[in-house]
Amino acid sequence: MSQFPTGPTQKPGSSVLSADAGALGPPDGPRAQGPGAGPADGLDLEGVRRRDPTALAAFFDAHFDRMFALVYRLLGDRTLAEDAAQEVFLKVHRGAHLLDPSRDPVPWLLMIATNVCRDFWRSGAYRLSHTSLSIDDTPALRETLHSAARGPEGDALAAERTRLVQGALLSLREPLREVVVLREYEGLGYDQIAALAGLNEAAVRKRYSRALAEMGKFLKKAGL
Amino acid sequence: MNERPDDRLTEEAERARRVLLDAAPPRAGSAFRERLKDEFVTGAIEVSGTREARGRARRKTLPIYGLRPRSRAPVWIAASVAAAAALTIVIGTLNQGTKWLVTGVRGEGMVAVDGEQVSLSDRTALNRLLVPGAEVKIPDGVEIDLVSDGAMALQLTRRTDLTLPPPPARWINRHTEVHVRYGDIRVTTGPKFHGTRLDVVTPDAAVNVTGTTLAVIVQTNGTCVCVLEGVARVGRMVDGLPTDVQPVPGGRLRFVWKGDKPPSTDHMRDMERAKLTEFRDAQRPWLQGAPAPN
Repeated sequence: MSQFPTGPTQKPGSSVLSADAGALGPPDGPRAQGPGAGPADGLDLEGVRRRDPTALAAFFDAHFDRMFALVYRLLGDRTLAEDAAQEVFLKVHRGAHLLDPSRDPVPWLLMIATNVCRDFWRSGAYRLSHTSLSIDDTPALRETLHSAARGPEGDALAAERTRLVQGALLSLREPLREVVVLREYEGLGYDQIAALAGLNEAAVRKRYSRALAEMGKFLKKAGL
Repeated sequence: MNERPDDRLTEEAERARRVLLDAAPPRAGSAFRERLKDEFVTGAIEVSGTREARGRARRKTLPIYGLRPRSRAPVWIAASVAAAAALTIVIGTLNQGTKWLVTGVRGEGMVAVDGEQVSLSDRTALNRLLVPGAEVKIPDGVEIDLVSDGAMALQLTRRTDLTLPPPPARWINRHTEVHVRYGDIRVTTGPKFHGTRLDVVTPDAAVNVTGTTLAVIVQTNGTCVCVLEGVARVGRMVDGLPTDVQPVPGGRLRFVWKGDKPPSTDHMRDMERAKLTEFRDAQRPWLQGAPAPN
């Protein structure tokens, strides 16, 4: 099994998540977002190391949307996602001087973001507000999902679909949700997710299949 | 390594995947984005006020080089260790035999328990201090009877100097040991002693008891073990280990001499027989479940 990088200063090529290997690119998933900004994307990572305001601004612009989407999908709540995104960038700022300019910072960001989300998952407040979600127990959600299924075309439908997907993701337990999000939205391979989650590859595959099966049932109930 | 098992996905699962991929990515509010960017760029970024207010703020030094996927394993390991420790404590507590209770005192004066002088008339203090591991010194002319709920009774007599043993445990580790440095003790076992092993260790002899009534008399020239009933195994202590262990049946004694002289056996003396019989009969009610006096 691949080893996850110990940090952004790990030598290129030594990790499945290294930029040189291009492993963060879409392995074969249609929605993978690719490696994100790397050294070749023109970002001034030396400037980020020095905490140069211009470089930090460019770095933020390059990565914020992706990190926010990731934590939002993992946490399922806008307020929590904002908190988590803030914590991710706080950690980035604190650790900026250790950044290796020769390497893609995305694996590091993904690691920070998933760790932050795991911290949130363990928190009592998260557990209180995110008890197991069942479509049968949530009439408002069911109504939303059904209206999405019959809804009009265009932006309204897209918005409803986003909510529908988020509802389906939230119906999964966190470990399953994590695998699906990293696989489908971050474009990571099973080995990369395994390294990121501290699991073996077979377990990741199993979780992925189970997650999609559960989501499929959820969506079927929703009439989609 | 990245091949997908999509051909194994059910139709529902495949549909779920398509729905996932169709969804637009969630976007942050522009106000939040701008504020966070400004704080990030200027270095004013801090733990979210919301998060702090919820008491979830965790300010840690970021271990960049050692950054690893944060496993849940430590939580489970800690929980398992805590559960195991709690279980051990519970079992250990429940497994403990009942404490020693004073059932009889004869004579007058003071008895030394862990260096503390206690009046023989103060039964409460005796019960409080006569605990397993206590160093007890009995003066001449004094006898104290102790009983441990149904398991065994001890009689500490004249000039006895010993370390009080723990009463036999209930279920596991049912072995107990009493160290007698000098003097006479009498031991009788009850129904709950079954399955227990008691070792009486003196400077000269080791006595292994599995259910009997006997006396162990430690003198300056050796140790005499008098067995009233049952069988005790008695050996010499050489370099801290029992050797030449021989069974001693009821009505017999074995004297283990200090030094190299081989142990000798004989019939039990009548006087000791009478004392042991009296002790056994007196303790029988407590050993058979009668509540011990306070």
